[in-house]
Amino acid sequence: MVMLQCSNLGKAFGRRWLFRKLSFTVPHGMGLVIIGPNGSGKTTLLKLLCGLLLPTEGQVFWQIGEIRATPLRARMALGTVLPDCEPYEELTAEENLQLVAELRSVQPERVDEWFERTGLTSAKRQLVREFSSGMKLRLKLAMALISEPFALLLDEPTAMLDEQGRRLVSDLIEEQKRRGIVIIATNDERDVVYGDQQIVLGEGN
Amino acid sequence: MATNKSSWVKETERKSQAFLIRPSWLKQVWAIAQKDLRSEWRTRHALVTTLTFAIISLTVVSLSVGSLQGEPELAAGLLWVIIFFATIVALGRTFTKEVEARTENLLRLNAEPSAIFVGKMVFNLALLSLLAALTLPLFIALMGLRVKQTEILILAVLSTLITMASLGTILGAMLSKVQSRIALLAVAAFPLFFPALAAALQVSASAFGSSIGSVSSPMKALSAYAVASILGGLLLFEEVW
Repeated sequence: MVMLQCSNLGKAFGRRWLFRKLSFTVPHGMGLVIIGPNGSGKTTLLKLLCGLLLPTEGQVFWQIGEIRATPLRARMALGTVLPDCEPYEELTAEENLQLVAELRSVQPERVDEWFERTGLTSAKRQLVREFSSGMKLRLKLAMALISEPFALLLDEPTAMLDEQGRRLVSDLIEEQKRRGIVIIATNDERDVVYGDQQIVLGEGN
Repeated sequence: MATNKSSWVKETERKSQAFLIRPSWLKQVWAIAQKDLRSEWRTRHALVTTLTFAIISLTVVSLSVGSLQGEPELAAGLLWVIIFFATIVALGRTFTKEVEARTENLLRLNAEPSAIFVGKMVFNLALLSLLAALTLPLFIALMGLRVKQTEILILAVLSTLITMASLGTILGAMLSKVQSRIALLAVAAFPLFFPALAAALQVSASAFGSSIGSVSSPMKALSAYAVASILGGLLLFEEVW
């Protein structure tokens, strides 16, 4: 079953095209890795897929509909980890995860379950401003996955993670593939293994 | 893929009806308002700046003009000048803090725009109500005023604060990524707040003892403007943020 279908996708800022005529499909159970140098549009492509930006040309069809027609429904049905989607630093990790659980109508019991999964149980009552970069990334993963979305979009998911953290990300990605699809934007060659297909940006596209 | 929806899309849209459970809107509103209240309680940024501004202005005004007993129109004018500028200071940070902390996308990805608008408005209204609850009695005491229609004054203040909170939330969202936003907010807010301020001035002056006539018409205008500002905010918010 195809869960994501993009056709002739293009994004321009002013007169500069970041990429054009990107077409791909992602079936259930697959991982898509987007690679390319800095500034090639990896994060922008993820933002187009989750509806935070709209494409200049082309279309994004999720299983739930076309992104322009249902941007909100698409956003709410995906799990997204982006560099400019930070948790609230003046709140504790628990308050942040509870906030997402309440916004997405997830049962409160899932909060503790996800702290356990991400190894943050002992730090859940700490303010996020006291967290290291790796701990913040774990929290962002828990926030993206607590509603068990059908698609998970990750930007540089293993940057700043230690070996244990990388294993956690690997497990979560495999689990997500069983539930739906995973799309990863990365610069790290080690992350390429998570993809069953690849898009290389910045090569004339 | 053609512009017209293919059968594949129609099929997936039909499936999606069962796929997605729409989260409760009121729950989202409360979660956002609660998050902002909790966050404000920990940092006290808006609270401290707003209250400091209000108290300093009140002190300066009371030292310079002394008692305003017998001058209800002037008293009402000064009261709303203080509340207007203190409100601008408070409303300016509502969305700016989200942009500065890079948390705005967290809200965008997880909540409906109308729920974000109402949640932020509820927070702003709570902040402004606290401001008014502290400023109003202090102003009355320092200016030696006697309130003749307490209920009418409270109703007028509440209606005006609702208008200011809803319009301020929309303006705060529009200007959140602009430099010099506080100055711009004051400039943009004044014409929008003006109908409410004009009516509130009339009602407050009457409550302080002025004989300028019936307060029924300005009270109706205030209530109608408050409702219109909320409806306008709900309709426009998704487009501006």
